[in-house]
Amino acid sequence: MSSIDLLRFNTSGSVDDGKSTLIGRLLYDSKSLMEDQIEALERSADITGGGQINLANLTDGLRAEREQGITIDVAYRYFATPRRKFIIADTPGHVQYTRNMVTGASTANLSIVLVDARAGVIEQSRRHTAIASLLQIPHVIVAVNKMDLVDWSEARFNEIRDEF
Amino acid sequence: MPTDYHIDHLQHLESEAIHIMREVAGEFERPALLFSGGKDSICLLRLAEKAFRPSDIPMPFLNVDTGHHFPELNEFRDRRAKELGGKLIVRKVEDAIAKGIAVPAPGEISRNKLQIPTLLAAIDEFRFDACIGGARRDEEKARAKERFFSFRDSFGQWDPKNQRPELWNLYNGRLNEGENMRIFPLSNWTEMDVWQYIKREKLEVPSIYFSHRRTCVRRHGQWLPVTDILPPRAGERVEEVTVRVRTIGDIISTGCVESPATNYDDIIAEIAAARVTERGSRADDKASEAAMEDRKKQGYF
Repeated sequence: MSSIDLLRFNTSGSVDDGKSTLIGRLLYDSKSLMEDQIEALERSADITGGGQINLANLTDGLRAEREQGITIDVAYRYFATPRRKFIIADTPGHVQYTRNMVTGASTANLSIVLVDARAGVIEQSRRHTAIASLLQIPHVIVAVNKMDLVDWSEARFNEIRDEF
Repeated sequence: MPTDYHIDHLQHLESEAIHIMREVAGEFERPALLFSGGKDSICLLRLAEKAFRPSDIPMPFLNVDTGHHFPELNEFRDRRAKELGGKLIVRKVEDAIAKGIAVPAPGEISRNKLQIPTLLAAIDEFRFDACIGGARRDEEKARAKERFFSFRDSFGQWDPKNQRPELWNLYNGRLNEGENMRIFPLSNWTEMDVWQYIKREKLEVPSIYFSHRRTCVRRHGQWLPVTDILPPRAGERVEEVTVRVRTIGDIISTGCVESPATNYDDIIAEIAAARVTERGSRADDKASEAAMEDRKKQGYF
């Protein structure tokens, strides 16, 4: 049997910076979503309103999370490519759930800190980066998200990069 | 096997699970290992062997028999427990109903929910403080939220909104009287990992995981096995089909999948190409979006 590596990573950053949605998108694009999961998403579209599929519902597995549209506790998802197997921890952004964020981040080899391009580097971005550093996570990626909402402004991107 | 010091993903998952097995033996006084004879618990037994041999496995095996099990599964369960020299405790839903521990709702045929009081009564009877189960996070989205060490209060209930921190490989086993812990060493395993491990370790599995001929009835887009407890209804299509089971629940709720798979490699290839999840063939999970979460809160695995 061929030898496959394992990469464990987590997504962090503030509430609504798009952590769960990023994971949903990764799973969707890597064709890791099964037909019955997509069907379940379509069924749950009515709960969160709008009638649109909400990719965040993939990892927000608790009823309270779906109703409130927030992540309370860490959810783990799995996908694989021919070269690598991935374990993703989708960690909560609210400050009162930081202990759950730490739980998910503690076993990660890589941490993705998401930053909303409109809000820039805020308290939670810094807190989660500091936690990643405390936990000695070997790799950190800062991802500037929601660039479409700042009209893909390169100046805004560079500003956030410099601030970080 | 690799000859260098590189650890591949199966070895990584294996060592994580063995560590947890030993933690359970070290931290708890009366642990039990839930063994149904299904593929996940077959892996648990091999991990227990690796964790504790040449000593005896320091915990009994426990199974809640719904009375609706596949006979092939129970035969395998009893034989495997004997081969390993383990003590197998079986508690039956029927007995729990007779004693008034489990009360079926009017017209309720499924034994799925009735497993919960039966299991809780067994935990009470033997005063188990920890139960190891083969549940995996990839199976279902409520399970994706659960810790390796999942705390249950004195009513056996899970509080998903108030789980304990669980950092690195440190597990908090602190309990008060009457509380217990559910422990899931296979949390990070996927269906694919389980089959790759079964293949690597050359583990025997019940024959129903492989392709066989079975009389089934077509219902809700699935092939359900025809038995005394699940007779076909008027107008339903009954056929002899070549099927296998992908996940094993009760015989009345387990959809069989049409498959020619006769060995491990066939199954692995089939899973790689699958477009629906394993649990897609389990009627008990389709009851509602929070079906699993609700059952777990009541004490289900």
